[in-house]
Amino acid sequence: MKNEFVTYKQALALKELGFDDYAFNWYSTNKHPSLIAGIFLTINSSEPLYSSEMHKIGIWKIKAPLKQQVFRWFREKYGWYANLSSWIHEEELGIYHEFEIYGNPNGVYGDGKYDTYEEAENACIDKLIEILKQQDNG
Amino acid sequence: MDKEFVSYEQALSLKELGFDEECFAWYNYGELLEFGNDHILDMYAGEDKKPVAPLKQQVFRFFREKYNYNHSIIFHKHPFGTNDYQYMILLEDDEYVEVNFNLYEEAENACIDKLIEIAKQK
Repeated sequence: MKNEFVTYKQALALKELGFDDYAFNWYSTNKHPSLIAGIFLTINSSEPLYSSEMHKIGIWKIKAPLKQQVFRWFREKYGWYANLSSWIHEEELGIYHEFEIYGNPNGVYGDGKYDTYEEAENACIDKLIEILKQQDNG
Repeated sequence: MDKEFVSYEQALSLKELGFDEECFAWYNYGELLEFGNDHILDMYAGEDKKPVAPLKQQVFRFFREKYNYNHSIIFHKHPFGTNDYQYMILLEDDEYVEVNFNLYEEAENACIDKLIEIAKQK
């Protein structure tokens, strides 16, 4: 299930940028002395959604957004559209993946070819965060 | 929260196609329930008419990994100010494209329906 979520580093950045959607899962932060930063706090079907452990952790956790939540947030809040697409190699066998970001202040952004969809997706999220940070910093 | 998951009808079809991953929610005769809120009721998830509810991103990955069906949801900005979305499905030996959706979610939903349809025909 962890593959459904952005990385800890991305989650931290998104929190700083104001992302505050519904959370299906959480990452621990390093603000609590007994916790290791970046631990994925799994809420699985065998545990209550709000267990006593979650209460103990309290403020020392951050939301772990789903990747689809992040893309929708950028679409709805900023009007930035991330096109993730797959194409057949002209010269080689197999498929490559790429992304383009429309609507952002820098114009259309494309980043080259990736071997897997997940690599392109992850790089796209990093780029969206980077562009927004640049915008916020003026 | 509901918008993160496929529809009940889609969940039923995906169950028929063998989707069996861990999910955050399930459908109890069409009602979306998040796992963990009622552990007794959760025991019925997966039974007839009570499929698990995949996230949309889980479904796209399922089709990539099991069927090698790759999808794209593309935003089109037209010269005269109108915008729309299209989806594209890339198969090993074919390609499906459908255009003119006003919303990303409409294109996404139609894309999932088409992936299910293609897989069922296989």
